[in-house]
Amino acid sequence: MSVTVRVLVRRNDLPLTEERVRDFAGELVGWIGDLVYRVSQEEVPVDQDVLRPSAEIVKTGDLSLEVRYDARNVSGHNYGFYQEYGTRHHPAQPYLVPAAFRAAEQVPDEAQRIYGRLG
Amino acid sequence: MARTVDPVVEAQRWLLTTLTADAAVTASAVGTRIGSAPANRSWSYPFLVYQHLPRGKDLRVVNGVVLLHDLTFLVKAVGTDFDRLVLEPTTVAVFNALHNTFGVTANAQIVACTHERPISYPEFTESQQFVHLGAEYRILVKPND
Repeated sequence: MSVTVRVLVRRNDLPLTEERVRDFAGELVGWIGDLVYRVSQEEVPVDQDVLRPSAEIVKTGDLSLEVRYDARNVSGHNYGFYQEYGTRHHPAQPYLVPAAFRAAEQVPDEAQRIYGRLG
Repeated sequence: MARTVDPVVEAQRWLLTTLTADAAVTASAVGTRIGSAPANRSWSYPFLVYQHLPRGKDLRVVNGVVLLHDLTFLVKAVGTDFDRLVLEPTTVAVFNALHNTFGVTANAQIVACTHERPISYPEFTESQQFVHLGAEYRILVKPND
């Protein structure tokens, strides 16, 4: 189970050089990834505490990363996905997608803060 | 003002009423095995379950007045792997029953229900495979209180 964080720079209307825009976007991606990781760590079910320690932030590109939970069940299948969406007997216990939504809500404020520092 | 109506409960009531009253849904393979997750363990497969999924802020507030609760629900049919083709008519019937609809409960208005995204995944056990087929639906609830 993973959430991808990616910033696409389509157009630069900021009074920043291209290099500074990439610094800005890179810092924002890192901040979002950290927040998704931290919030999901608070929300993740801990019945057997297998899922929580399996989390990692993996850089997948200059301006992209993934927050991954890679714990496997006894059959070798991704346990994190079953927690997020439920099994036939267990209801969903979402931990990662809600973390992404909470991070998304805070992006405009954080973007302003980073821009204020770089601009 | 203190809240007297639980919007999640109202949305669940509306889902149950709407889905069980829909002839196409109950005529599909799930029959009347419809309810909130987790499913009743005595039910045979396939069955249909729904569940609220937290998705960040769920209130639309203006000047301190709650206008709407913006809720996301997972509505999915669950069956054995052999049921995959059997489940598709159920998900189509659920879509037709819920997408672009509205309604009321005793304590709230269901202002809108819309299909958000499909969900489909297998579940493996040591001896058997199950399939989960459905979608996330967004339900806007306005409590009467």
